[in-house]
Amino acid sequence: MVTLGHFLLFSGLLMAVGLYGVLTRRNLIAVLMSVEILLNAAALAFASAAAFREPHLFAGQIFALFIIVVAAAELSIGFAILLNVYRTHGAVTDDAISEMRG
Amino acid sequence: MSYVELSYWIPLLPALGFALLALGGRSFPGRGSGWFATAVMAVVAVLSLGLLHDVILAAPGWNLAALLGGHHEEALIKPGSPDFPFRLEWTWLAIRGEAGIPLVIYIDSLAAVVTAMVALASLFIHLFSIGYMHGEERYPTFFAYLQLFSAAMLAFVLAGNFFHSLLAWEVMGLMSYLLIGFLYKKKTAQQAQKKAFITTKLADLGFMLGLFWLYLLIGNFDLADLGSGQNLLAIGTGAAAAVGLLVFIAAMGKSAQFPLHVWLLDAMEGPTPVSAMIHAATMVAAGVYLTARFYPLLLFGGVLWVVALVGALTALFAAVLAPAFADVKKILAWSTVSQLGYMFLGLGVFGWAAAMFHLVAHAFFKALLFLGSGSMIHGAATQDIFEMDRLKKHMPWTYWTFLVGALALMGIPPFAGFWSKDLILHAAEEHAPLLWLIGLLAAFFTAFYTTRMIVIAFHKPAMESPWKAAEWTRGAPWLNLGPEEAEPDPSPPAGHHPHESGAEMITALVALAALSILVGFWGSPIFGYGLLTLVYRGEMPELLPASKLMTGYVTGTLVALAGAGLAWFWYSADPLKQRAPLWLTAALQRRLYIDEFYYKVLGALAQAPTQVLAFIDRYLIDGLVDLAGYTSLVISSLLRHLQSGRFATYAFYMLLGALALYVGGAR
Amino acid sequence: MSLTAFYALAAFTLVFAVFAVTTANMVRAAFSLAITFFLIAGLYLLLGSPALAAIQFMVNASAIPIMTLFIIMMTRSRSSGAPRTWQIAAGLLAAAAALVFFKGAVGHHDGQINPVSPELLGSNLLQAALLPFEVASVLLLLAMVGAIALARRRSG
Repeated sequence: MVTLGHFLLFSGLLMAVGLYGVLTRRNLIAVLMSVEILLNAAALAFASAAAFREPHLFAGQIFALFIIVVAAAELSIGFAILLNVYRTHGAVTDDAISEMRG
Repeated sequence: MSYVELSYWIPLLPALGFALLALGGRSFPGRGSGWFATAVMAVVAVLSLGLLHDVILAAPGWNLAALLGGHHEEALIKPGSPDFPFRLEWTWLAIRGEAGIPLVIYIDSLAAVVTAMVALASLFIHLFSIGYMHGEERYPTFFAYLQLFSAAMLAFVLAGNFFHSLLAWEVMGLMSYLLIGFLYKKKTAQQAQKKAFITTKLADLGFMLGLFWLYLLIGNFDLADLGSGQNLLAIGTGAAAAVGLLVFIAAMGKSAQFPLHVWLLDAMEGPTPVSAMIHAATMVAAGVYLTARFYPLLLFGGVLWVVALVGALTALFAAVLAPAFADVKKILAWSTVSQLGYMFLGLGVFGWAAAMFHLVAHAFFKALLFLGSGSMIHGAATQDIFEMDRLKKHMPWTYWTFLVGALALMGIPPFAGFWSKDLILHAAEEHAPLLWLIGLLAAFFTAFYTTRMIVIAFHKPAMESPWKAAEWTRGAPWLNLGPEEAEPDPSPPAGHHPHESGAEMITALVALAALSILVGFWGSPIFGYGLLTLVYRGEMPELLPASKLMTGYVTGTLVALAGAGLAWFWYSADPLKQRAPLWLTAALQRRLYIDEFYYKVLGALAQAPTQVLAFIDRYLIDGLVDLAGYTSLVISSLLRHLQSGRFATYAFYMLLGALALYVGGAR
Repeated sequence: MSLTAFYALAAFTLVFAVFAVTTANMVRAAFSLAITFFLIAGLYLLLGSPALAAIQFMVNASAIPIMTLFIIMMTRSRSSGAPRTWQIAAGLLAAAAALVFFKGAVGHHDGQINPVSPELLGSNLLQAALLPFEVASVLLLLAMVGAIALARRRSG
């Protein structure tokens, strides 16, 4: 039988994958993609908790919905910024934008 | 409304005048700022004369015969009014009900007399300056300075609280600095103002130390209570002597007593009215006044002999140096030093009232002499008495008024200096015969150099100044300046004819001449020692019955006449004849090398610790500063590697932060 | 049956997710991301939430990969550079840490899934969560305007 534990553990694994991607990717688009995985993991965790625990309030489902909304907004803005980065720096890799290097 | 209640306006008005002139002095047309300042001083003079009138009415009256007979207890014929000495008090610096340092105006007879003296002398100096300073670029500024100078002196005299005396005293120090260096483009004026400021400031340390020590002992700064038995008991003999001497050091600096006299000669670099201001009304009088106020401590501490000794030596020293000079202002400056020495001698030999009498008398005749010299310089276009061309013929008003001042200075009866100086000498004869002899000798020299000055400047035709080209006067070694930095004073242009000065200047001279004669009579035995009995405080052994006076008067007059006669005999015959050996003249004109000694030795002494301090600064302090900078440099050069500029690094730090939060929250 | 379905979906999802974050080829990464999200939509169905599954399919599995492909083309990002060694170490550490966060998840044995119909979710969204809903719409509008403003090619 599928339990809440299964889903939460899966969310954790997905989150670990996303985190790994955020830290290892050197192309900024790939980083944003990894962030998407992270957000999806979080949304899934909310939705599963809601499905197993809170049948009447739907708070988890609504939260997952909003996470998707926020992710979409974040991604569109992020991509727009990356487009500008590409225009000014000629690339969207972490090597290209290292002005903050001490 | 009585003048007493208005008395706070006396220092306040010139202070306001200063503010107005300093801010908007340029708005006055022509000589307007000068007339304005003079008008302010005229109001102040009226107020202070009214105050003096009130004080004379309120002061206790004394039976002169009983006083002279030594019966001080029975001498009181009219008790003073109950509120005398007057006292106005305002709260100042009071925090949460504590007493703080109350702002006090304390008016006893001495304060009233000196206030009137300062106001009147200052008024005529202002009046004189209207004409004398005409054409000066910073004309309003000059009057602004004079106003604040007068305000500070008046505040000093009226202050009933030594803390405020100190404040006014310091303002005076600043104003003397600004006024001595008024012609600031002259290198010598710059040096002179620094010299004056540093010398007096060094001495002021004594005032501050003494004052704060006094505060530690008795817990207030009140001037009126200083001599009370309870206070003296709390202070103790040793501390009284120490505090008194510390304050006396400040007085020595301000009143130019040996060995702190060096600044006064160079104060002549200021315009002549400034010299009059400093030498008569304000600056130097402050030192004597302060010593008079601390008299109870000096008496109780048993150190009056120091005051007497310093005064007598200074009187003689300055009088001996004066005849070697050719600059009329410098001769007068030496005479000021010498006369101040007399005042301290008087204070030192229990002649308190006589010294105060001399202070007031001297203020008037010295203001007169300085303004007279200003008129001479104005007319003759030179300061060198040898280059002045028979001024008696060209400037009769100046001559006769100057003569009044000169006779007062010499101590010829019946002029002011005669009455006051002889009383001091009487007191000295009673208590310190040796100092009396020194005083007489100084009187001889005083008459000598004064007559020499008058003969050469007023009676003789212009001649080549003998010392202008002298090798030892080249440059200004007493100001630490080389020949290329200090030009000799200019000679009058060829074809210059001396001319009499303008009406304001003459008015001022005549008024001061009249005042100096009047003040002399007021304090003389002819009018029952009026001035002296007014300031009488119950300790005046110097008052003498007329029968005992005669010998002293005759001696004094004879000595003065001898000095004057010798000078007349020598200088009317051949003013240029070199009578003293040249090396002596050189030494005297170099002021016995004291100034240079200060510059060289004291300069070197002052430099030694600065070398140490410079070393400490360079290697220790700078080292610490460098170390701090270097440390942060090292730390930042390590920390900068944390800033890789790559987002992954920052994301990792964020993760570490989240982990830390998690670990912290789990605990 | 549902356990089998879950394991299958979960395994494939993880495989594609790992591929999406490790492959050097950006286009492949984008496509595998799309598949990952598509599979997650399946998991939402398994959770009895068809509405969320639909939204996941439309937004995350379709719109976002397309946008990503566009941006990959526009910035000529064919490939992502190989990660540095320390990055791999940090990534593994982070992954491990994430798992530590979720270690408590294993203990949840609730097995009863409560399906939620789209009607119920929708009416709840417009009643209990009306304000967040409106705020979210404003956020989306702002994001759209912002993205356009940012990406616009400035003249001069």
